[in-house]
Amino acid sequence: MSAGLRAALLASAVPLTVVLVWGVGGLARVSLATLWSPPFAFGIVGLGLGSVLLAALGGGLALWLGEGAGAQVAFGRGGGALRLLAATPGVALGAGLLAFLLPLLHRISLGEGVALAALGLGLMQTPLVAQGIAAALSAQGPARDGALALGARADDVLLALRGGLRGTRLRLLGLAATRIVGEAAVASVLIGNSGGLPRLFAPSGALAASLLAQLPQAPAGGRWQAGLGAIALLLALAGAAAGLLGRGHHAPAQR
Amino acid sequence: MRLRSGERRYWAVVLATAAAWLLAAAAAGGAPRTPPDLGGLFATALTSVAAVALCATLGLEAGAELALGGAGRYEGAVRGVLQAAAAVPSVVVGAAMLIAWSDLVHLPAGIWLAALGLGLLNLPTAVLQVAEDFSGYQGIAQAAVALGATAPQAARAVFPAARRQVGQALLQAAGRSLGEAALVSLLAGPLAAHGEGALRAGATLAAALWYLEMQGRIGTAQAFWPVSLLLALAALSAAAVELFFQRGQEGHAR
Repeated sequence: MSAGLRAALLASAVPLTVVLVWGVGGLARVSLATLWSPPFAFGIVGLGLGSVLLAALGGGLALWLGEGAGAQVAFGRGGGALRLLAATPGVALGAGLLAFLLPLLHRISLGEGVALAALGLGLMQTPLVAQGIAAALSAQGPARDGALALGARADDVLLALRGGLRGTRLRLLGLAATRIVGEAAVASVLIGNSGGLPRLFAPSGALAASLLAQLPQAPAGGRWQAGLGAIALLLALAGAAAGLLGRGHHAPAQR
Repeated sequence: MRLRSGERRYWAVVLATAAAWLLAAAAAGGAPRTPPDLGGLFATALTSVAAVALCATLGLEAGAELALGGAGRYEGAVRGVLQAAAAVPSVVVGAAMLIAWSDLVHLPAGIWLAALGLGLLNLPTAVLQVAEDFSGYQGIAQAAVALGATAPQAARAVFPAARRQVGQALLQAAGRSLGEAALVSLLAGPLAAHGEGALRAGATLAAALWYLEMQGRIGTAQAFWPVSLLLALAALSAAAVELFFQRGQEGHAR
């Protein structure tokens, strides 16, 4: 193995290694502690449920929107809008939702929470799903061309070929859900950052959002930082597992 | 230069979005009253260029080696580590670097650490992408090896043919870097231990925008420039990737 490949491998593995050491140490420290000292509590269930709910709602939205968009792209329509959405940084998308949608929600006595965050994160992952669906549809050339020759529209072709796309849809859903769980910046501004159980239209929390918002505040070496290490380990393992499961699938980049 | 109908639609959407944003910002009283903070723009450009430079120096050679069998019997393991590293969320990479830096090195974080973090974040993806691009030119590499070239020399022989795809991979790394907020906020942005203010030199546009969003100041004039510049940079980088991709395809077709 050449020196360049060794160096790249080492550099790529550094963050994973640091998280493993920090997270395992943090997990041990939080779970093996003998002192109970209120008012600090470190229950991870609320944040974990928030992440799961975000992944389910956001992933489902991305799949629903991405399927329709992917079918259109496979026939050469709407590609520009999709490319633009894919190129838009997540924080700019979040700014749009905060500036235009949140005031409307406030008018009907609702606010930020899991629903708004799932909308933003689902929109962010829509290009990923659409590109995957478009590629899968393009790969089924003869069947697609046959349906078109019979006068079918894009949506009809998608319906007709959906059975053959089951594996692709599941893989794309998993990929989108994993990315949503790991997304911190957009989630933290749209979910409201609260530590309790998740709620649709009231401030809630998620794992990645809490890690981003709280790490700079946590005192070095304390239990708070140790707990955040456990969250980082959980997110790293989920991401790495998704990366290994999705081997061979070339996913487009996320911003 | 004549634009195709697909490209015309793309630029129509870009311009319509920009116009809608300007109108909405003006209607909301968010029109700029102060000149843009060039520190944010400088920091964004600096971090993106540094990340691309790291990907280009380490990623190109490593990707070419990987594609041309340089990893030998460890190829599966190497690819596995790279796939796992590429899928780790950016906030986790940022947190790991912050912890390592503050606990082990005891030096203050800053814009250069954010640039290093962005480079490390994009490196595994760049290596895998370059490896995939180079694997399409195995014939050239095998011919070079048959003529007595070593693995690095074979990689250099393949590079002219694969330069479009490699350029696209590096442009995508630049695009990801300019929009990355979580990692930069942790390592150099307003949340870094020494940081204060939104649009200071240490904060990139994305990090500054995230900070304004967290403070609930998104409807203000302060938020206008980060959003506008970020959208413009994103549209430009997407267009550049698109142009590279199309020219690469046209080159192949010829």
